[in-house]
Amino acid sequence: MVELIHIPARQAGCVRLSKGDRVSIIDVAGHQGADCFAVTPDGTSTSSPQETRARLGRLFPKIGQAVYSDEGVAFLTLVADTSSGPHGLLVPPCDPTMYRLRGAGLAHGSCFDNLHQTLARYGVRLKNTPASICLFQNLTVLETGVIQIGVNQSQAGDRVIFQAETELLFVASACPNDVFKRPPLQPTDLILEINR
Amino acid sequence: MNSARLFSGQVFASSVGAGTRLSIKTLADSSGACLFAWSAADPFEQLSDAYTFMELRRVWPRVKDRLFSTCRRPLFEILLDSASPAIDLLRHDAWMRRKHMLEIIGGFFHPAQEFPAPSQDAWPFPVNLFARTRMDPDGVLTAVPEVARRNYQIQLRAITDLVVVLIAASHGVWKEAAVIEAGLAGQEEL
Repeated sequence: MVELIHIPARQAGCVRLSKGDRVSIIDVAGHQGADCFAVTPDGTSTSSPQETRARLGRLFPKIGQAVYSDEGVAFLTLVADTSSGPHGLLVPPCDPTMYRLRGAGLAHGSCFDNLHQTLARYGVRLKNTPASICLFQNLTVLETGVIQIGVNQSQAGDRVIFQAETELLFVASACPNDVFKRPPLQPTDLILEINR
Repeated sequence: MNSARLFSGQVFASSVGAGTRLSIKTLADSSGACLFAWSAADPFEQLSDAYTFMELRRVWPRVKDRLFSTCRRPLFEILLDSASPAIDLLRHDAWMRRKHMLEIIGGFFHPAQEFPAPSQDAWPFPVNLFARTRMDPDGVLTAVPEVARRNYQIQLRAITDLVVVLIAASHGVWKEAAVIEAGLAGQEEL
């Protein structure tokens, strides 16, 4: 059975996954970042970029490798990636403070707010904010250690596919960041395609 | 100066005011520490690898850099790092697995203790001292053991009022001797 969830620009979508379900995160128009998170249905454990880096000894999983939880449990396996990458496992979701500090005012939407407000609708209230699984984020680390974040290189229709390894709430936020992008790029939509 | 010599697995914790200098010195090879910190006013505003990466735009912080909180506020300034860069944000398990860390913390922090602290399920990931993770062009992470030698020193200045927690750690066989010395100077404890 295939289910589609349309996520408008700047907003988030959530889907409950069972073990073995596959979720595709699709960049509809290209160049759009997707901040993703996986959470146990009771909210006690979250996907953890820190634990994933440590377990894999890599900055980002290869095909067939997992994203781990803060308790070291394999949450999601990376099944396929049609984009040219890169993706990021280093930085947190954008948040109201970031936009305020960068002159975008107090009312700017954020992946931080998207995550917490979306989970609240499922009765989940996290104590902390996990770092993001930043799909399509053009984040590269130079040999000198400098982190460069540029305009995302993903093309319209590019997708990343994860398989759930346990029961999860999966949240994807169509990143509202229009501060670092150069005009005319503006936040655009995502689609989640779920194969059960 | 208020200082303590710690065996591997021992905890040093203190509330410190803004301006306090935290000095950590290795007393043995293959030894270092896991550093945790949070705002004295809010245990959920925690020292963070991810926010430091974002604000610094560099994976290996160095002297004069600042380490940031989950609220994007600077918590520490790096004053000294004798094996620079030896403050590791890339691998939280450079010194010990999280499960082991939480067991140690669980034995130290309890409801009656004096510091405001996050609960175990909201415990932050550490910043590792005297550790460095090298990265190749394919994104493979490798530990660099040369930055954990005897008599190396790191000094941090608290930028705001903090609770600071260190767990001493060693990959060597140092059950009979202290592996790090941690000290506070320059400001009264809160």
